[in-house]
Amino acid sequence: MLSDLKQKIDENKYIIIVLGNEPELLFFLAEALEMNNNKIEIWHSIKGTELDKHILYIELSEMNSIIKSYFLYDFSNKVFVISNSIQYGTLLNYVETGIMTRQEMVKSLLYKL
Amino acid sequence: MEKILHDEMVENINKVDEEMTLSEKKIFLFGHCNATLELIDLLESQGLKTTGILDNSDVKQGQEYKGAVVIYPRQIGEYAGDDSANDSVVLITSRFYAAMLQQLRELGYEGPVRKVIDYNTYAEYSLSDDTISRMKTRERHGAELLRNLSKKYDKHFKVFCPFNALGDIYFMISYWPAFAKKRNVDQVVFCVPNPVLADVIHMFGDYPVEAYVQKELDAMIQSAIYTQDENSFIAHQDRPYVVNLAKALYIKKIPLEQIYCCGVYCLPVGTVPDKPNANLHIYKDIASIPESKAVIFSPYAKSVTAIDHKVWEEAVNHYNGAGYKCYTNVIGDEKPLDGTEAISPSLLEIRSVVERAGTFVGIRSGLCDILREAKAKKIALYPDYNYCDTKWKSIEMYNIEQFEYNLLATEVIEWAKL
Repeated sequence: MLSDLKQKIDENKYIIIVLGNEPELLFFLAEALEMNNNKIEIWHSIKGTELDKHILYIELSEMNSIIKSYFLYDFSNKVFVISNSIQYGTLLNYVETGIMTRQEMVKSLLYKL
Repeated sequence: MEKILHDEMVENINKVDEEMTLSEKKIFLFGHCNATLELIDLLESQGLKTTGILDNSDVKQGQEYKGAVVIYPRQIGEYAGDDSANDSVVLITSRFYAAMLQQLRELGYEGPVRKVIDYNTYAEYSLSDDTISRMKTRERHGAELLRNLSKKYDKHFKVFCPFNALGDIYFMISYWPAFAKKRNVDQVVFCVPNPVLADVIHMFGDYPVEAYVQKELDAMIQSAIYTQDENSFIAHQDRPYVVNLAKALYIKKIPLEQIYCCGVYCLPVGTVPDKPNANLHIYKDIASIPESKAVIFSPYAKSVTAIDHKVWEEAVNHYNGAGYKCYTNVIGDEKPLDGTEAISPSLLEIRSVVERAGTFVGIRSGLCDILREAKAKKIALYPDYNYCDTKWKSIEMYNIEQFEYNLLATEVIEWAKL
């Protein structure tokens, strides 16, 4: 799976990885991607959410191997991980505290991609 | 710029010069920021001219510093000439070195690209076996440092402060008690990249603090992320790379204090921060400062664009003319402003100095956060620049409501009316 990711990066694609159980977030991302020119793919492991050709379901075990590399170092500026974390602040904190809506969060994530 | 980073920059420039004789190259710098301007000054001191500053920001295009104009990276070919691979070099001070290198190569630039300060040990844009192996070695080193820390503080929750900035530490610690309550944290140890930052933390309580060299701290943080250590927290708003809070600023203006409260700590809007009331000292020569008839100027800040000296000159002339004794807060070899006397209180003493003097006029920097609660007339001066690569001005992001005046230094200031 890491080699697939590397290939996408070499093709100049942006990969947004959605961790955890946020199907609503996937819907907002799918909506935002309708305006996109095929540069962005969303990868997730949330079962039962087949939405769009740019939104790919990845088995959790394979996703974990990518995330392990992501947590080892910053290997690309074309890969973004969306998740909650108890270790640091994330964009989802702004949604939880009412600073941003989910749509605004998605808009900021996709800004200039 | 901190001295240790400046020394690193000087050493690396000398190495690059030995490698390729910079006087024979068109020199480009990538990223218009304070560190880049300091690099231009350094190059000038060595008789070297900078041809251009590459920057992706639309608002910065055309800005100029000592003859070097800001241009888009895609224009490098136009300015470097036909044989750019041999006749030019790009030097980078920014922590986004990896991304900048990648962009240059994607644009077809084949000339040498050199990092002159290693700001960002987290990033290397490669998935090669060699890179992964080096990063695993780095992580193992970080893990060893974490084990040593845990031996000393075995029951303590670990909080990492990845960046050496007074203001960041101030916000981090002021909201810490509310976060600690939410997470049921009893004992904590703070890990910082500079021992001076311990003073800021101690203004809020007698917390244990451990200081590390930046690269060691980075390795510990990386290891904590890699192992998903639940007994640790990284309390910063945009470092390291896993923290994506800064993206919100592309579409929404969120003041820095709220970024810490709601973004970093996920605390409700309206959470009341703690105030610094611990371990504050009285400056030893406090009696020599005329009570309520003195002004403390703070014109220097390591990571903020300098304000035109004429602004300070006018301010000093006004206050001297009005019978105030004027001081300049200085550290190391910083010089006092003309017409003022040097004064060097510690961070724990400076509030006593400002309250005794009665008036503070400073460039907006972390020191202003340290003085938020000082009982004095406080004036913050803001250089006119945008916060990072966002559309928000620094005065919008860093505005301090506890200061009587937050003023743009590029506008006319009527000191007599303040």
